[in-house]
Amino acid sequence: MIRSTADAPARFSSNWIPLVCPGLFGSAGLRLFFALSMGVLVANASAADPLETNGTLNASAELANPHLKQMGIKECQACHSQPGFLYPKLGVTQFVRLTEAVQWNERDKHAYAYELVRIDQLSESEFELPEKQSNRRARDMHTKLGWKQGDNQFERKCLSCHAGTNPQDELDSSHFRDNLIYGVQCEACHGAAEKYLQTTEHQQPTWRAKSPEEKAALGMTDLSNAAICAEVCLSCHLGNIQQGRFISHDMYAAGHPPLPPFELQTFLDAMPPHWGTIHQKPYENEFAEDKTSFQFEHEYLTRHFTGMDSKSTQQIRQEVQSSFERTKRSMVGAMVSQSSALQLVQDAANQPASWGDYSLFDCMGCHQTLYKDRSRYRPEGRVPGRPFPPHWSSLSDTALEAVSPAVEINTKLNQAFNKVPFGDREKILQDSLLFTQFQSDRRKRWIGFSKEIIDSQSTREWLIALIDEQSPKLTDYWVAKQTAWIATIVVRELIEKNELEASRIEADLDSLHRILHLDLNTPQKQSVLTEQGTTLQTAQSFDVEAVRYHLDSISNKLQSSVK
Amino acid sequence: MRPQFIRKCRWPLGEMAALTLLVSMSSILLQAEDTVPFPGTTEPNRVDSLWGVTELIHPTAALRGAASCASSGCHGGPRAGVSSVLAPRGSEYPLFLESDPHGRSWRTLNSAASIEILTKLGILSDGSIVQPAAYENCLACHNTDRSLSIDGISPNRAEGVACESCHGPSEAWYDQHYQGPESVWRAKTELGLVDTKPLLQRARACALCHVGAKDRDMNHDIIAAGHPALYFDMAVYHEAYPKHWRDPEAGTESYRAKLWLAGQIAKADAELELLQARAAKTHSVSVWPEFAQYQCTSCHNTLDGQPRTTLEPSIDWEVLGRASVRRWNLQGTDLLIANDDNAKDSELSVLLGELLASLHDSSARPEQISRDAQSLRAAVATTLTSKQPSILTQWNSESQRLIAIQQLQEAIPTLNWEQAALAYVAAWSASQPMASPELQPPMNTVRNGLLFPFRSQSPFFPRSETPIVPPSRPEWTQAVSRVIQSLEKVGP
Repeated sequence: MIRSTADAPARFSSNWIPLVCPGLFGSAGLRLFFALSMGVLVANASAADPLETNGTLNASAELANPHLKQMGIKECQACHSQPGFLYPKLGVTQFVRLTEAVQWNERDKHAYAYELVRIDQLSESEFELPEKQSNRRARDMHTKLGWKQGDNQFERKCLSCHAGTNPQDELDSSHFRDNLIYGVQCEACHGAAEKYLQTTEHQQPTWRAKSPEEKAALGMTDLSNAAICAEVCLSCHLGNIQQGRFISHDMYAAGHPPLPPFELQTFLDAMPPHWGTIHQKPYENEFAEDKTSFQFEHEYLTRHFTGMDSKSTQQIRQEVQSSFERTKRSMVGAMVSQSSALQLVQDAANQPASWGDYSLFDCMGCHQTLYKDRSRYRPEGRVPGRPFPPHWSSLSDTALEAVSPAVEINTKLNQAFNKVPFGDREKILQDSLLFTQFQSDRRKRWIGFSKEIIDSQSTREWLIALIDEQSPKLTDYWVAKQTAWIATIVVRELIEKNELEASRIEADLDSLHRILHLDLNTPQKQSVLTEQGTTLQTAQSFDVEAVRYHLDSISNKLQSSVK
Repeated sequence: MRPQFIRKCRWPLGEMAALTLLVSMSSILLQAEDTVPFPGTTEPNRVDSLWGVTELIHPTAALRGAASCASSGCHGGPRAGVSSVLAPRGSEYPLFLESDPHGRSWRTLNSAASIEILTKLGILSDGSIVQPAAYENCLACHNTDRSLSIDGISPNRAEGVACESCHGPSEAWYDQHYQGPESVWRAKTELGLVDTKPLLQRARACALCHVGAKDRDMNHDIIAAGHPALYFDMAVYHEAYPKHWRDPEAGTESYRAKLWLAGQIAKADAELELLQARAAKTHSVSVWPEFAQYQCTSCHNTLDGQPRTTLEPSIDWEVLGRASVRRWNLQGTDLLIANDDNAKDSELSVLLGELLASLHDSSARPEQISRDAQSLRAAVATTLTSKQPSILTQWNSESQRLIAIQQLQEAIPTLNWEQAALAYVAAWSASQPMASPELQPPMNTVRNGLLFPFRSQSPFFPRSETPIVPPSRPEWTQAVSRVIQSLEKVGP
């Protein structure tokens, strides 16, 4: 491996994973081997009731328990690197490729989240290397923020996102230190493996038939649900104070690059996916005798879509194939961004130290030049001259019915942020119960929505409504970017499903990509710092009218092309 | 220097005595701790009474309107020139009416731009004033009469910011101040006629609006809605002001310097009073934190580090991640500290340090900031009355020249807009109107570097006829060095 140095622990690589039966070399693999040989009967008998193992089934247990212990990536890669040659025949790889860890390691930027900011074990001369630009920045941030050796500020404030650690992790343990090098690794998103590795269930084919709640009870997060997936991504890509993931304005001031706006499907595409979507599953099984028969397929599909219980596998498969899943993820991503932003405000209100931190607000709310020729967007009903939360996290749910509590919540938020610059903390705390209830209702709603079938009409209507709604806010680069990303996802999916002629609309997408620099395909090991200058310059000087023109054009073409 | 000065002076030498008298009068007034408060007002605090202005121009005192002053026999002239500076000129009101921008302030408040501001702020809605207190806050500086009780078509309303805005409500003294010098003296000391002759006191009257006061607050909300930010400088404004009076000192070598210093000190007092009120949360208009208390450019900067103007900042933190405190109006305290022999551990510098620290600390309690501002303001007053009572009398063009050189030198490395603008104004105040011609070109370059390329909300300068090409940073820095050289050459 390129990055393996004498000092750093060597990262695993597909090269040294035995091709025949990698599982044998890991404890998890042993259990898998055992489960496979004993067959499904054994598996069923040993499958513990999640209600028993966990005591109670938490109502919102789809999100994994952060108090569980992370076992480290080596446990995962023992199986998820290379399937044994017997696996396809046994049906193990019908729903899982078992190459995930390699995909992640060789292509995903998350694998380098720590490597790019590590400040230990680098010599003075190494810091000066061009490819160590981001490490240099991290070191300078450390100095500027006045952090001292041993005060664990770097561990607590940076690694929660750059290595997916949890606030309750023991920083001194060798387990913690040894795993840092893998960056944002498996368990950071999928949930700590302490429990689900202890059972044999995770390694059995029955695992795919389990409900998200049952898996969550064992510590595994249901990332196939778009809402939950978005929540996990946003905990770093927007912030989550409860999980210790929060970039304060001081950290930005010390040099942290600005967080780009988050668009779920675009970002998932850019990772790139180390998983298969439901569209792609079950995978073709060239070894199986009956190529149309898959174990637990019906259970698997009914777990992921609501209202399917009475339908046949074939029927569900057809419906799922017709569903606009990519658009759905974009929709849900936008909604959950909004919820996460509200959650950040609420959590900040509960922590006086975070309250009023400038980073809770839109950069451009303050950092706008004093040019008068530059049109500025100011949210409706806001007092001039007050900072406001970022628009990009507030793509509203217009197209998915304006719910009355949403309007009420919005009014209350506006009141709190209008009363005092940086918002009135007491007022937010007063309405805390209302916010919490609202958030929990919304959460259920989006988790449910993620299991629905989305048809072409609602796809079109949503994008048209979204463009109409965002049009006045496009002066904000982040809003323009996020809207253009969503438009790209939706339009491409319509084209893919033969609902739209590519020739009519591709030119608009190309222009948007050119004007707004929408591409995310930087090399895996390259820091975003290399693009920061371009991004910020574009942010302050892009052609707003051109973006508006192309988005409106997309909206018009969608309206005129309804079949 | 002296013979040259006499040649230049437009005033008979005999009047130098009057100048000395006026200057000493101002110091007498400054030292008088127990100025009689205006009848009917609440007991002023010690600091207020020092200035004799803030409580005299009080919203509850009775106004008579400019018409009362402007009768043809009094201030409604025209009358031939007079021989004595102590005698009224007689044509003050016509001069004011014809050329004083204050006389147009009611029109300004009714202009399309103002209507837009009022609407954006939600003060004006569907053609009526829906936030009376906020509108009175506008009237307080755009009109003599701030009360909403008189209607818009009253002649008093149309006079704008007229006589009584600066000279004080006249009900108590209008029939008492024209019976010889003694009556004027009595009106000034006992009845509430504001003495605008002493420069410090005059500057304090200007600062009531041009900086603000607890009931005259032009805050960031209003700026964001479209009002230009306030960048008042006594010397610069005096130069442009169509004066309806004669300053005996005008044309003297140290006139600009004295105006400049009087302005700095008065601004500091006004700013601290305003800050105290803003942070105390007892304010009708502003709510803490008040962004106008911070430098515009500390937030309004380019995130990409690519300045579009000579001095437009990329991010440069005074305190990491925190907005820098606006020092435009606080410079007076720095000057008093610098003038003190024990500057380092003087009470003033300690208190200023505490105030700045709490302003930079986003978690500081506003009550604390308010208390800090109050203590510093009291210390400024004490310094002026007991420690440095003669700072203004002693201040001259030489002191100004030295401070200008120092400020210009400090401005070069920082390239901070506010610091550079302050230094420019200090340098301008150090130079004579007839100053050496070699100073003019670099001064223009320095000024052009401070301009924003488009007419922007703030900092606001009138647009010139021909577009000004801003200098590059090296050109600007070079020009500053040339100004410094020219100023150094003038020295003894």
